[in-house]
Amino acid sequence: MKKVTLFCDGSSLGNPGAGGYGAILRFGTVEREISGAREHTTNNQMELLAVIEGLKALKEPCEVTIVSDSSYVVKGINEWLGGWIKKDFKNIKNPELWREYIYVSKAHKIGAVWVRGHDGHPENERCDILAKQEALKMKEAIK
Amino acid sequence: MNLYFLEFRDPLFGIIIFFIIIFVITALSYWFNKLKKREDYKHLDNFLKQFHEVPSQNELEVLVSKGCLSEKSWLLLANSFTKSGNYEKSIEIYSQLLKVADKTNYRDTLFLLGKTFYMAGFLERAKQTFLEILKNNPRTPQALSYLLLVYEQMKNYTAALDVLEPLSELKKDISVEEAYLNALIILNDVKISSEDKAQKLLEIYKKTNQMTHMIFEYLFRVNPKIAWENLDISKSALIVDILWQCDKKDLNFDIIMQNSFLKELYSAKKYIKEANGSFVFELDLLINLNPNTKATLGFEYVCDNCNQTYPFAFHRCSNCHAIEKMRVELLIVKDYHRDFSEESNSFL
Ligand SMILES: [Zn+2]
Repeated sequence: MKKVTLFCDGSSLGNPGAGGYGAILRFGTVEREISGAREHTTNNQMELLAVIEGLKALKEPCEVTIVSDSSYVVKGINEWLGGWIKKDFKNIKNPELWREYIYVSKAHKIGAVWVRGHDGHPENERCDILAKQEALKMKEAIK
Repeated sequence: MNLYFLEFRDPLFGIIIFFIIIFVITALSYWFNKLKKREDYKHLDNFLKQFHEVPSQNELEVLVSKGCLSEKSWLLLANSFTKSGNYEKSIEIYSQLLKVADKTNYRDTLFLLGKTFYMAGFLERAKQTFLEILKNNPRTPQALSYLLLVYEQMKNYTAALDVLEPLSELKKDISVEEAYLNALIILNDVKISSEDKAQKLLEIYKKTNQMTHMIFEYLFRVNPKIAWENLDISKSALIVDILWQCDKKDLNFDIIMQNSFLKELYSAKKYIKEANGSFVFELDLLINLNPNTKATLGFEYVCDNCNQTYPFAFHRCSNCHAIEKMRVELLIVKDYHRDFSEESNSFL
C-alpha cells in the first residue's frame, strides 16, 4: 500500500455562509492540490469535505494519514465514528457527509492526526489559503 | 657462555627474532591507525558540528573569504539541506552568500534561493526573487519557468500566461502550457456557468488536441452527454479512469458498441456482456472472473517524462513540472464497495 499524507482545511465565511475547502495529497515528494467551494455551509462541513474530496482523488487503496487542525474531523475519524455508526447517526450533525466519508474511505487504511492551526505547518497554511480563496470566490459569485 | 654464542648463531634464533620484529611492527601500526582514526573522527565531529547551526553572517564572511570552505562547498551544503527538506537552513545559507560571496555567482545563487522559496511554499518571496533576476536579465529561461510555476500556485493564471510570451521568444514551445493555463482560467472562473465552461473547455480541446484528461474529467462530471459526443474514442485509454467511474445511467451505448476497448472496459465492469476477453490483462481478468470475486480496477498514474508514479491523477507533474505527460495504468485491487457496510477503518 502506498503511504499518502492528506493535509486538509475548510473554511466558511459567516459559519454558516459561503465556504471553501483545500487539500494537499502528498505521496513521497510529489503532491496534488485540491480545492472547491459550496454556497452555504459550515466550517465543520468544509473541514470534512476537504477530507472526502482528498480521498476521492486516490485511485488505489492507500495508507492515508489525514492531517487536520479540526478536532471535529480528527476525533470523528479516530474515536467517534464507530459509536455513531452503531446508533445510525441519530442526533449527529452532518450524517450524509459522514456516510460519504465512510464510503470513500473504505478502500484505504486511515488515521487522522490533529495539528494546531496557524502554528507554522506550511502544508496546513497552504490548505487554509486554498480554502479561504475558494470561499471568497464563492462569496463574490453569489453576491 | 659457549652455549649462548652457539644459540645466538643458531638460524632458528634468527627466525624467532624476525617474527618478533614483524609482530612489533604490526602491533605498532595497528595502534597508530586506531589512534589516527580516533583523531579523524574527532576532526569530522568538529567539522559536522559547524553545520548544526548555520554560521552568522560575520562567521560566514570569514569562512568564505578565508577559503576554509569555498563558496561552492556552501552551495553544495545548501543543496543537500534543500534535498532533505530543510529549507530554512538552505535559505539562510543562500541569503548569507548573496551578501558576502563573490558577485560572479550572484545570479545563480539568487535563482537557487528563489527555487528554495518556491519549494518551501513562500510564494510571494519566490516571486520577488525571480522578478529581481529578470529585472537585470530578462531572458533567463529558468527564472521565467519558475516564475510561471509561482504564479500558477498563486492561482494568478493571467500573470502566468504573460510569462509565456518571453518564454516563446526564447524559442520554447509554449503550446501545451498555454492550453493548460487557459483551461485553468476557465475552470477557476466562478462567474461562468458550468455549461459555458464546458463549451469553452471543448473549444480548447478541439483547437489544441491537448489537456484531454483535465477537460474530460470536468465534462464527465457536469455533462456526460456532451462528454461522450465530443470524445475522440481513440483517446479512451488516456481517460480510462474517468470512463470506469462513469455512472451506468450516463453511458452512451451507441458509442461504446462501436469500440472494442470500450466494450471490454464495460464488460469488465459488468455493465454489459459484449466481450469474452481482452488483450489488456487486467480487463481480461475481470471479464472472466467469477462475479462473486471482490475485485475491481484501480489506477496508478505515471509521468512519462520522469517515470514518477502517483496514486492520484495530476495535470502538471510536481516532480519534473511537465504537463500532459500523465499515463494511466491499470491495477487489479480489492473491491471494498461490493458488499458495502459501514464500519470504522481507522488505524490509529
Ligand atoms: Zn514528471
